[in-house]
Amino acid sequence: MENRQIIITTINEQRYEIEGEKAFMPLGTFLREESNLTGTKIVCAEGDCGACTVLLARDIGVDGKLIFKSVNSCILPLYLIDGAQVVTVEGLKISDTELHPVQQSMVDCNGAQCGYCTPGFICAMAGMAEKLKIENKEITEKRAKNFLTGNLCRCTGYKPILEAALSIDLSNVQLLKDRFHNPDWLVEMKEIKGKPVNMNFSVKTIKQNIYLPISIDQAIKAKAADPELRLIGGSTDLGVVVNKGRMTTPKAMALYHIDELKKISHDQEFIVVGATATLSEFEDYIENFIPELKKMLHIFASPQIKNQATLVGNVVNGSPIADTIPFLMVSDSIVALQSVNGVREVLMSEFYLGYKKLDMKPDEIVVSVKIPRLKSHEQLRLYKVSMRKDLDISAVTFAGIIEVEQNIIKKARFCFGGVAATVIRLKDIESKIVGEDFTKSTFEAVALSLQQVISPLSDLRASKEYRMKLAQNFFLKFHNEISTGVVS
Amino acid sequence: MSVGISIRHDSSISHVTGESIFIEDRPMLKNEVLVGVLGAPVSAGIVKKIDISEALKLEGILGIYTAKDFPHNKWGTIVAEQPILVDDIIGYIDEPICIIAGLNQDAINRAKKLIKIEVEETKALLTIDEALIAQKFICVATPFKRGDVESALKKSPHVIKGHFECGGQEHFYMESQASIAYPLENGQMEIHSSSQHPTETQHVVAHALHLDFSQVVCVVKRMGGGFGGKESQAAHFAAMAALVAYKLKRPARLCLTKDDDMMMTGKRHPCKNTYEIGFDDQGKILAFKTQIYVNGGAYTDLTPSILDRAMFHIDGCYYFEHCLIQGTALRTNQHSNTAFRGFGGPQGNMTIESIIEDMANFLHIDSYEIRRLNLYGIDSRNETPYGQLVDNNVLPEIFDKLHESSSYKKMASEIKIFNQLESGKLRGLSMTGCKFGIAFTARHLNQGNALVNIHLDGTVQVSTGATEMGQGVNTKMQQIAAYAFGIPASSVVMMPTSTEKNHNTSPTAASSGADINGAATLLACEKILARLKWIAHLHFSGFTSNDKDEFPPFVLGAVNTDHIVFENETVRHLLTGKSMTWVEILKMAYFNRVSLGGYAFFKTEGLGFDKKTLSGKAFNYFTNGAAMSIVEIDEYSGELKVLRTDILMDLGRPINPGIDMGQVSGAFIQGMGWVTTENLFYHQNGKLLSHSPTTYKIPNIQDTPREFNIELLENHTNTQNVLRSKAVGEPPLLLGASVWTAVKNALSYRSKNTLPNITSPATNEVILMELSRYE
Repeated sequence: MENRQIIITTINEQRYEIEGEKAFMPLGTFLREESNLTGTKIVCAEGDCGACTVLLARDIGVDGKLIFKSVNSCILPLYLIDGAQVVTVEGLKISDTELHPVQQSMVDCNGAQCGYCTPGFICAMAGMAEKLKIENKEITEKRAKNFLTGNLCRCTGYKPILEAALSIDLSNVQLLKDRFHNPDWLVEMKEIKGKPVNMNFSVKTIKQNIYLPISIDQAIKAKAADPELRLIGGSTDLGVVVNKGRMTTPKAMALYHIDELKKISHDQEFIVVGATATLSEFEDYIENFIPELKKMLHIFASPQIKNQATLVGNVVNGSPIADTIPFLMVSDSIVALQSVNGVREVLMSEFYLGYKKLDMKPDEIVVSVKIPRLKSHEQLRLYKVSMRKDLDISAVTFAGIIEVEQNIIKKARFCFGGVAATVIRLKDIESKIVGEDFTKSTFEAVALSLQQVISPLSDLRASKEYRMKLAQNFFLKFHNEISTGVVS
Repeated sequence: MSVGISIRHDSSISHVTGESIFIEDRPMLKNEVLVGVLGAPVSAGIVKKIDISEALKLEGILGIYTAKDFPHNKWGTIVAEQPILVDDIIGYIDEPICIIAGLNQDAINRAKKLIKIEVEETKALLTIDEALIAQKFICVATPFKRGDVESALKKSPHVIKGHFECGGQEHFYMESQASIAYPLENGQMEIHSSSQHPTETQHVVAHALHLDFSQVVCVVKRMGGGFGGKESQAAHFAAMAALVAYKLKRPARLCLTKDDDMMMTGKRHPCKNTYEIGFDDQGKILAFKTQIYVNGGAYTDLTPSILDRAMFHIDGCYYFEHCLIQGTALRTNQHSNTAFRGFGGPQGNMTIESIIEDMANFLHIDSYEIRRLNLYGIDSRNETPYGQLVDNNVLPEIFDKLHESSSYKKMASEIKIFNQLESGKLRGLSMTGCKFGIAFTARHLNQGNALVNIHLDGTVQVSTGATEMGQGVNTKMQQIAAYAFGIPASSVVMMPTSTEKNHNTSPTAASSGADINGAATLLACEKILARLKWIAHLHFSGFTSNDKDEFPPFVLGAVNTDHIVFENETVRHLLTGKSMTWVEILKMAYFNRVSLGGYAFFKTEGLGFDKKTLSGKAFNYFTNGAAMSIVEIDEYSGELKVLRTDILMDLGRPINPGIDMGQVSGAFIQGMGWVTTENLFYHQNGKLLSHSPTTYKIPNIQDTPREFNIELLENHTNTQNVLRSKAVGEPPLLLGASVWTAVKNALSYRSKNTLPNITSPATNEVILMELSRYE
């Protein structure tokens, strides 16, 4: 099949064709330096402050219209927005004399002081209005805070911004998917997604490659041909290390044009999450299946990050403090790997061999994660402690599943992140505790024995003493919550 | 009336549409170059050699400069001792040492890696304790002394000895340090800077390049946040951009990344204060003796003034009959600590609030009762340790009203019951106050000037030395000018701050931007108004002018014009009912060759303080307030939630209540961040490791109090300030301490027979480790 050599995207309804090295440029930089759209600000360049927030539509909904979501443009390389439509703060204004209702509300409530974070807040709020209006939900204080978790403001103390969010009258908001509905673009978008991108070029003698396959077959063949081809999900981790000069990515492959990898589905036994399903899609999907995991995903990251990042990205990145891994381990989830030699399945608890070292061959790609559905008698708790409750990297994470029958522990699985080079399952403790009474003293004994099992390190997020104390206390908290039925 | 109402911020429309222009948004000129800054590799050492030869060969690199390239390399607001670039001695790690001019950021980043710096490393002093042992001081202040503290301590029924320790704080203005230098003809230079102090930027640039002050113009349109971090610290980065512009004769743009900004620039001063406090059974303070130690970092910067303000505010809202207040600033190998909203005040204030919390736990009396008992009085017990009377004292009113409106008693008893449940959650509450002295303690800074130009269509341009950093000073001045002329605020436009229009200005700091520049604006408007009233008087009296004869010249005070008023764009004679429009009188003035421009100078009257004799007046007035906060701690993890905060502020008669409310909420949350999550983490070699929002945690929207109530006290008595308003920028930040003292209160429910002993910030880790101490 014929390959395309350019990335095609539209920004505020203007069409752009991007060639060569420029495709590696973050969208935020492209907006500011190449598109004369300086409203979008870049502050941290690591997806943590939200000043660079823009609205991105990469998918078409069942109604045939675009699905707009907020994303961080500072860590989003242009090769990840092929066939997508971007709306920036400049594009939101209705006319020269009429503001978007979100903008008007921020003016009326003094939501902007210095103005530097404002464009990001406006876009995040417009993303909120879009989603809530489509879902026919009201703007509540809780929802508004959740949609604005990913935006830092140093001036207002957020009170006026929250008031602005709560003052938006959704009935006055014209949906972006209608405002920016362009049948011609939708036709082109489908054409774009129907043709793989393969850009090969050299920059200062370094061979570079951007590959966007449209089928798994293409993807695994490419990976077999060049194992150096690096798989990119949402670029929320990679974008940071690239921006901070700690890494370059001359060869990148992204799978978002492959429709079947986007899917999340379930049967009686498993929930199956495709490689490019985003964390926000995953969060929405599992809300009724695993409420405890939904709670964890809620504080996992900002909406912008979750709209970009993938579950599989979190799994493959393999960080010892990755927030989903403890859950995936205690739930006995399975990673499905595929290569030209076929499909291979690995238990999550056996997937990590060492610090960022995975049981994965150079020619393999992860196509999905299979999560066993919780049994009705299994109780799950997931804890995460970080310096700040929301939008922060964990100091220690914990996952525990337990089955108690007549106050006897029938089955137990425990997992910690942040206390070793990888996320660890505590199999010794699990086997020891089975058959014990489900009492506080059992868990106190387990907590005490932890000192022989783990030896956490000190870093800027937590001292080793604090990590140890947290790990021990998580067992006590776990017992307390299960025994009292408290959901914190 | 355009004052006293909440008109929108004058930049709000362009802010929400993304059209506001910040430094980095300015279009690149065709020949403009980028400037990068390389930091020193160690915390202390002597530079042996800087080898730039390999870096210079890189494609896209136009020049690399070191200290010797500056005609004058030393600067400093109080003491000119800080090198713009490291000369031979390294003061702190990541101190600017080389500047790199390049065509793109990529080339600059690569050049940084190729510059070789040879240093002979020496022992670094990083903490207050280390500097104390080494006896390295920036300054030792003249103590405030009243009564006989030693014998009063001896006679006190109870004495607590201890120390209070708080960390620094990163400003985290969203827009990092940024400036562009445009070289002009005849050696002139135009600087666009994100600076709170354009005049100092002008002076530092001129001095560094050996130019006359008159050859340099500094323009500040706006800042993306300042918070004190751009008071002194914008200047030397502007000088770096200017050096490149000067050398290459090309515009030069220096915009730091957030990481570089956080590593290179100074922060709020960490403090470690020792004290002895004597009190009676009821908690009445009988004697207070303290020694304040601040970590000034490598250079003097503004440290002596910050130390002063810490001393001026360690009394909090409370009267000390016998006291000794001492202050010492240490010199360390840390980034040079600098102004940060509150300017030492928060560190002083929080010390006494912490002590009172300890007294409450010691005596088993609610801390509110102790605070209320020791509050400054109305007619007696109303003199500060530095000899200033607390006049128009509204503190008792504020405390009583907030105690009532926050249902303090009910909350306190509910918390007591809640904590007995042992649910794994622990709650606490506390009310703290602030009494913030308004005026620069360096008297000469309490001056300003304003330029007002009226155009013939009735619109007005106002220029002052105030800089807009989001705080709304421009909007307030817009309102003041509109109020003076009786025109809508929308007819007044605030112009960029520029040193060619307003000279020898003071930094926009000390919460005084609107006080000083607003007063100057009002004076300038009144000058024009006097002339316009003269014209109106002549016109209403039947005078006419024609091609041959014009109106007689204006003589100030020649006639009584009290009955001529300007309102609703109309000039009216109250006795005759005659009137004319605003535009008509402007035209009449113009055709009679009467000036429609005004310039005025303002100084705050009555200031003057002698530290030796503790006499005179340090402050123009006080801005007061109080906050009650309720917190909840997860006893398993130490995680902290703020459940509720109620604030009552006295802001006099606000010019713009909406903008002031935003200042209160913003300052409070910033103060709360300082005492909770904002933990600066350094490697043992002195390097800051928390240098981006991934690792340095300012509050986000989820961290704000679940219930957050702010009220303003009605107070029309502040005749000391323009239109009876009060300064607002810094004071509410002090109230963030209420969250920290509430944590102490919560811990007291588990601390058995010991006093809760925590440092600030009270991170989750600090809280959990303290709880585990009680086990």
